[in-house]
Order: sequence, then structure tokens, then C-alpha cells
Amino acid sequence: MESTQLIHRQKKSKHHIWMTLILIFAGILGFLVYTSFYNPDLGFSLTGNVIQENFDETGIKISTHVEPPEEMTIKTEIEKLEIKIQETGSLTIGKENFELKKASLILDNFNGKISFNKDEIIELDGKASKVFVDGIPISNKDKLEINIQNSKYSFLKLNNFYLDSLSYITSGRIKLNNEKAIINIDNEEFKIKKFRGTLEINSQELRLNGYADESNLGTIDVRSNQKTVVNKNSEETKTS
Amino acid sequence: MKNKKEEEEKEPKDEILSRKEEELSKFFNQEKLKISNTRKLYIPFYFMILILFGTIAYIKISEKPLNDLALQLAVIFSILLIIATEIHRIGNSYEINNRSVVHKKGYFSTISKTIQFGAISDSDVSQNLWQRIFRYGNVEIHMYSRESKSLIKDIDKPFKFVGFLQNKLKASGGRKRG
Repeated sequence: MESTQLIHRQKKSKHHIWMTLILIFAGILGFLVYTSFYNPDLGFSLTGNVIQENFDETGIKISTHVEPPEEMTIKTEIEKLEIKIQETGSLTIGKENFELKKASLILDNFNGKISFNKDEIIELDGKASKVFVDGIPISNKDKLEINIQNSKYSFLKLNNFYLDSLSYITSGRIKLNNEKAIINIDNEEFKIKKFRGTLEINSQELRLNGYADESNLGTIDVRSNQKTVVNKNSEETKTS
Repeated sequence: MKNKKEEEEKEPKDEILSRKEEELSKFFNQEKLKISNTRKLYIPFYFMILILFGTIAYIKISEKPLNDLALQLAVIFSILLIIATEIHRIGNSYEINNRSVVHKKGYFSTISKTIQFGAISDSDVSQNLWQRIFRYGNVEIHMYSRESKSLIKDIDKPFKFVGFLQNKLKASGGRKRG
């Protein structure tokens, strides 16, 4: 009887170890998938609360007025995409082709790829839950497929989206943490990592408004978890 | 012509066979055989690590935001899992020498159980489906004097282990039933 009880206990403890391991594994996997595919803000706010104290939102608050890059490609989910088209090259919504000279487009919950330069949308390909053309809604039961190619635009705005990294040489003005620090760059490297916010291109200017985890502005490195601004040339360290 | 070709084809086959025979004879002529639990036992754990890193790779490729905390948790979990499996593996070791089978158990303080060849009546190999797929299993060593058996759990190639044991039993002149 004693030996059977012992074996039974051993089996029970083995099952407990297995269950614990599977639960931990499922928890980590779930957290990984949820914070990447469904709610990226949850992950950032959690890590933000652990690492930071001063930032209400997580990361460095960044606002830019810089020259746009020669070409940019973004493949992500965008809550709202606004475009003012000047000249349509090719525009397909669902199965219909549109020939419009000037149009205002709004895409809700866009998921796909957009390539553009300062004048032209080279390619936009993806799906959106709602599409408005000049304020007129085009709806479908499923998500609408949309494709734009080689169309000139005068205004482009990507609201609430995530950008893993952006790096190019540019000139302009960058404001950090509600204008606590204003940095002017002139043909210097502009680099941001893990940006969440809004991107706008209007009259040849790239405006970014949001939060980034890391930023490299010419000779200055800014990291959100250290809350410091480091000047590489003078090696001065300022706490922001 | 045909005979020549057949001879040429036969030669590599013969070579392979003779090599295998050599390997087997080397294996069976060893003084000692010392083994521990096979790593195949931990395949489900390795699979968990693979799923985690596969998901991370997919997130990176699809340019989705990868949360730092989630990444750190995945890395720490994987490292701890590998360390735990290796520690578990060290905990049990089995040795067949010219006189006995020795089972050592424990980490800092060890328990060593020696079964002399004279006490061994026979041995069984047991494998479930999972163990059969991955070619590992358990060996039960039965004894004459006591109505007990010694279980050698989760070892790689259990039939080879039993073969080695039978060989040693024969060589030592120990009693053997099957």
C-alpha cells in the first residue's frame, strides 16, 4: 500500500510540474502574440510601468518637422489612413477601378503595405474595413481590398500605427518631451526605433507625432529607459 | 560486364556491413558502458522553445511590434528549461561493467545501487509509441533472489543496452534466462 501511494504521489507531482510548465509556456506565448498582433500598447504600457516613472505615455514623446525621405515603405496596421490625391495613376477598390483626377480618400483599419516618396504614392496594397472616397462610404461585408499605384498626392496622414524603425539623413527640427528639448539637425542622421503615433506628409515636410523607444538625432542619442540625453561629441549627459 | 558491375555494387554494401560489424564489436567489447537519460526525453520541452522562437522570428519578419518584456520572458524561460533538463539528465546514470550493473542517483549526495550479474535473472525492454518513434525506452532488470526489479528509465537504444548486458553476462558466466 505504501509503495502504491508513493508512486501515486510521484505521478501527481510530475503532472503538477507538467501543468505548471505548460501554463508558463502558454502564458508567454499568449503575451507574445497578444502584444504583437492584437494590442501592442498593452506590452508597451506594461514595460513602461516597470522601467519608467516620468513618462505618462511610454517612451520618448517625439514631434518632428523634417524633410521626408526619398522613399519610404511601411507594412503594418494603420488605424486611419488619409490621402488627398492630386492625380490618380491607378486606383482599385474591391473589384472596381476608379479614374479620379482629385480625390480625398480615408481608409479605416488599413492592413497592408504603403510605399511613397514626398510627391507620389508608389504603391498601396492592402485591406481596409471602411473606405471613404470624397466622403462617400464604400462598404462591404468583408474587408475591402484596395490598391493604389503611382498616384500623386498633396497630403498623407497615417494615424495610430507602429513603425519598427526609420533611419535616413535629413534636416529639420525635432521636439522631445513636449518641447523640453528642441534639436535642429542639418543633413544629419535621423533615426527612431519602435515608434507609435501619427505620420503626416504635408507641403514637403514629414511630421511625426508620437512615442519612440529610441532615437538618434545627429550626434545625440536618446533612450527612453535611461531617461538621458547623451551628446556624443561633448560627452555631456543631461537628464531629461 | 554484368558481373563486374555487380561486383562494384556489392563492394560498397560489403564495406558498409563490415563497418557496422566493426562498430558493433567495438561497442560490445567495451570494458564499461556508462549512460544517462536520453535527451530525446525532453523533446516536448525543446518543441516549446522552438515554438517560442518561431513565433518571435515570424513577428520580426512580418514587422510587427515585438514587446521587449515578452522577448525577455521567452529567452529566460528557454534558458531555464534547457538548464533544468540538463540538471535532470545528470541526476541518473547507469553503468554496466564486467561484474555488475550500477545505478547512480542524485546530485550532491548520491545513492548508488549495484546489481551483481549473479543476481540477474532476465531483462525486459518496454517502449510506448512515443518512445518507439524516437528510439528510446525503459529496461527492466529482474532478479532471482528478491522479488524485485530494477528500472532503467528513458535510455537511448534500449535493445543495444540489453544486448551489451547479455554479452557481459555471458562473458562473466552469470546465470541467464532470456
